[in-house]
Amino acid sequence: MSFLSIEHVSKKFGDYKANDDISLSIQKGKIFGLLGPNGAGKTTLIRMITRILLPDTGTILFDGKPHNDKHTERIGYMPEERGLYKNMKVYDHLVYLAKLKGLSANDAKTKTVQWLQRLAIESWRDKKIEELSKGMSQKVQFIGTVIHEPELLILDEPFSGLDPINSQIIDEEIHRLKAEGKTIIFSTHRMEQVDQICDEIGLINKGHLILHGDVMELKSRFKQSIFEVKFSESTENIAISGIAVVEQSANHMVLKANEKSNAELLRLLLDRGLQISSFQEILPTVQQIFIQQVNSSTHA
Amino acid sequence: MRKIGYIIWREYSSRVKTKSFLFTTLLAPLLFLGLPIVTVLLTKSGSDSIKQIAIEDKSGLFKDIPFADKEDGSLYFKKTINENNSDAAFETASYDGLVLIPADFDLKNSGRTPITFISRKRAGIGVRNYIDKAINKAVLKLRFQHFAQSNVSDVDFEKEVTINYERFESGDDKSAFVNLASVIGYLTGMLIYITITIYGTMILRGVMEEKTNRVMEVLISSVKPFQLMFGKIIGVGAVGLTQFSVWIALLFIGNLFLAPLLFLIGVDANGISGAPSGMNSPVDQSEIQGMVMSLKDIHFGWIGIGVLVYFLLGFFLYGTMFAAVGAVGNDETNAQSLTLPIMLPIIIAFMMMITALNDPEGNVAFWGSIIPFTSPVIMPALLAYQPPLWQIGLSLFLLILTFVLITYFAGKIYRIGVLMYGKKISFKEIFHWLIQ
Repeated sequence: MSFLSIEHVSKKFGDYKANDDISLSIQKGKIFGLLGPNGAGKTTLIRMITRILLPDTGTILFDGKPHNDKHTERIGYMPEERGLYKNMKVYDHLVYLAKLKGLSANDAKTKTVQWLQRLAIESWRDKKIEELSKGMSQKVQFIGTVIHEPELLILDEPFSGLDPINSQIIDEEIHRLKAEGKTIIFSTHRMEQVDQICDEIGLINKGHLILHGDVMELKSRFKQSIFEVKFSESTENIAISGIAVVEQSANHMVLKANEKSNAELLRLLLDRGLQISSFQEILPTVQQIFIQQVNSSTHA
Repeated sequence: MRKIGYIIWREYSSRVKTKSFLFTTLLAPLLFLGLPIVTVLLTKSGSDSIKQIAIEDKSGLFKDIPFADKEDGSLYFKKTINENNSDAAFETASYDGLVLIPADFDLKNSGRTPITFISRKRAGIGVRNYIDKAINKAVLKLRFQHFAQSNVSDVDFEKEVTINYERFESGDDKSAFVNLASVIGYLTGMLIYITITIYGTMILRGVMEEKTNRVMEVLISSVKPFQLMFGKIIGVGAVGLTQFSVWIALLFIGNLFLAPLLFLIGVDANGISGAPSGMNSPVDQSEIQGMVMSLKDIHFGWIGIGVLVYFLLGFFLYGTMFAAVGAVGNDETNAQSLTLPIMLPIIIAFMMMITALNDPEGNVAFWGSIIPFTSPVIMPALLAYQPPLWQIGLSLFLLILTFVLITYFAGKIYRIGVLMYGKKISFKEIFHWLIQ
């Protein structure tokens, strides 16, 4: 079931089309990776989802209903350009953000205490934001984003500026939120994170959505029939028509088999009497798909 | 609406809790002690509503004594030839004021036979001081002519002449009233000028802080930019109001203690110094008594309400403009150049106020109290002079209208400006946003 449907949404700034007829849907409980080079229009799309901007044309359905301002209380947004009031104390700041998201004063206070405990940062409670390190204030910012238990979470580069330990904590929190059934939009340039985290992706370039779908499905769609084969004994050469050797070492080969299924290739290899210890198809990484698609759409 | 309340409270409490707030709130009143200096400034500047002054000398004593015109020609005297009824002469002639010297004028002591100054418009203290000086100089000359040769020992050559100021229609025009009104006018105008400048800048900094801190985007994904803008303006306005009311309270307390205190000082100075110049002390004392008396003539309640209304409207008018500039500015220097078009009218208003107080029924006072960008400073200053109701009404109407228009445009600039990071925004672009 799609939690967020974006239908033919366009947004112009003057003559510049930041978003041009974008349609995509994001399933409930999934992590959606929103990708694209700088200036592609990701921020504009996110700003329309968060109701900071309104689309010129097209509609956005939030949980099946036309998007409205009341929905912003069910969205948590951590922008890439983030910040907090420097002279406010951690506790006061989180309570304030929670109240702006519609929580009652009491709920806001309870939740703040809970989250400070959960991330083990109760000792920062009365520290001013300006006293915190960058990583520390990132954590506070993350709490500020999720404190009202939003059903839709939008994280723009959530790991930037975090050390490995804190990255892992945030990573765990993201997965925990997903397990709770929250829908998450994840925007990043770091493709290895997309491979690890995202269920679905959407790729935007120059205001257009050029690719959209399930990560596994996209990988197999863009696979180039490249296989890594390991042999249990040293193998010199294999000359099979239609199969190119891309890489070769003593008992390891990377093969490119055009227009042949996995089974066909495997059978051909076995027919040669080769001792195969492992056979694996190499799927393209999201990064490869990203670069390929951006380049082809740019040159088109 | 609940959220705008949270915003207001954050903006308010985060400022009121600072030490600098306490500091300025309690120290600023000391500034007001600099008033005497300002009074001197006030009297120096000219007036444009009283220029030609006729002198009707019924005593005939001043036939050969010239009255000194003002060097810049802004005020000059002319002796009338006919000795008709003064009122009729005044009505037909194009004089702005009339100095009436009674037939039985007593050169030695004018206390029982005062000289009267009648004018159509109320004379400000600048005009009064000049007329006082001119008449006293003439009298001094006359005293030398009359008494220098004759060995009269009981003549005090420098004894000040008693001059009564009257208005042609309404009669008695208390000089102490004008003094007090100008003091009160100056104080209120000054207060409004200071608070708009200080708190306008505070709004500007606040908006810029949110923008450069990048907290803005988090905020506007929770609340509407308009709520954020007005939350801040109201919050900062409440800070100003808090400070304002502390100041006014101090002013009231000051008034309560000041009046008797001034009286005491007057008496004391008389006794201790032994009247050094021979002309100041007795007059001063009566002037202070007059001041104390005329405290009753000033409608503090109405002035208070008027000041409050103009403060709020003026603050919101300028506050929204400051917020818009803050949203457009990216750094301090950039913002400063953008602030200029806002600061200019406030500074002009303040300078106009000084002229207006000097001449409360002149052109500067009138137009300054009508034009929306200057009226929040000038009208409150004039309230003690009781300007006509239609003038207040027109001024309020124009001010509210301007406020609504400015809010519409400033809101637009704010909404777009807060999303523009790291980019210098030109006036041309802002203009584009406005017409979009």
